[in-house]
Amino acid sequence: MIELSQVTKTFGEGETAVRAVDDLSFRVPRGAFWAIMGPSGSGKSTVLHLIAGLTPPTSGSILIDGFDMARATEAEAAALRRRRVGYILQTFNLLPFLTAEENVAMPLVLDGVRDGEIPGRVGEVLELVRMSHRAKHKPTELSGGEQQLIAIARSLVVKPSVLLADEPTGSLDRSRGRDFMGLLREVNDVTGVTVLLVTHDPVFATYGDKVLRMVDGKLDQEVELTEPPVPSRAAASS
Amino acid sequence: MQPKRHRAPGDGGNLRFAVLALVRDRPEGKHGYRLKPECEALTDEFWQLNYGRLYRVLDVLERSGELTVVEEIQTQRPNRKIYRITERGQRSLDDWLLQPVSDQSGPLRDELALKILFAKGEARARLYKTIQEQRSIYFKRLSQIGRRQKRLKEAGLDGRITDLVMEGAEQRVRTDLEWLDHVERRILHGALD
Repeated sequence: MIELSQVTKTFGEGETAVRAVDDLSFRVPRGAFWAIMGPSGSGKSTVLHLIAGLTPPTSGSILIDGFDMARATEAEAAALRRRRVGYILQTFNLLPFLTAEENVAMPLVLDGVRDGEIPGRVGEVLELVRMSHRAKHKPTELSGGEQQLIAIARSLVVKPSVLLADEPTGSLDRSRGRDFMGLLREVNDVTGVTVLLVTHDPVFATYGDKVLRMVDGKLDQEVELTEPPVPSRAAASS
Repeated sequence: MQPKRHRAPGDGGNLRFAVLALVRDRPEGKHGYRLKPECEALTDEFWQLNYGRLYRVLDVLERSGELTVVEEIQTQRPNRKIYRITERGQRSLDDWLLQPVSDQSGPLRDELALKILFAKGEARARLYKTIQEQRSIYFKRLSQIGRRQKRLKEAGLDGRITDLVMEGAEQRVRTDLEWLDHVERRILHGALD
């Protein structure tokens, strides 16, 4: 669960200060898949940075599973980010000298997980994103779409409760973007990880349950997308 | 405006040709009960399939000699109808496929554009709300297109072709959304006051 209460983020000071996020409040329930859209400069990426704890809010609170990022010590926040928050970006940031499976294993190695446990967990997430057959390949031997799948596997290997995705389809063509979004939806359904996606593409935004539209750092509109119950068609056919 | 060549009263419009095409794709004959889900997969919540209309279309196609129907006698269950396309049906489908699209859209076909054009006073003040409602409709439509794509694939239609058709539908909604954002920016910045 992600909960923002009256969050404001101001960059700079005095007359040149820019209010990127302005008194923003919303709560994403556990296991939900929401998308944030908005024109450039609307503050949507800043929201993800704030939730990931990459930058502190100027005021307000941000809770992840009830835990307040802003009030945590540096070490606590780092541990929370590592274990609870997965983050995927438009650029995949895979280490070029490691194989796909070594890249995926990296967060576990950094977190001091037992060596014996690592291969099983890596194998599991590679299977989830259907990349087991590419485990031994280096990033340069993979397509953009495949690299993005490895990046998502790497973020899922720590079993985060929240997955933040900032324009993850930005460097993929439309058809690979579509495949990727289908998989992200499936990951959400299968693992129950809460997904918050930032995208400028309305088609990809509608893979989620809800679209939040931001303008000038504020919430401008919410659109609920969950399917309404289908009326019985049998009655209409008789 | 162009005359709508294929829309004689009661002939079922494009549904007629969709039915012909779905039957044609099964040279061994098409069961009537299979047509329902397949036609349904072609429609969406904005254009709901009325089964009465489907049966009228089948009836018209049978009487015009474009389809033949054979009843399969069943002992345990109700009899099944099997439809096959005739040469005449094949010809009329080919004709339709080769005709330019008659459903031309123009600015005056668009209800929202009309409302923006004619909004005054209270209606103009409410335009922002109208835009938000319309945006919400577009997002829902995109989400429905995605679900419809799934259904078309499940109904066994060629995935590569359904992708292209759906991408066309998505592209139109995307363009509508962009235009809506543009209108909203102009209104918020006072260009219409």
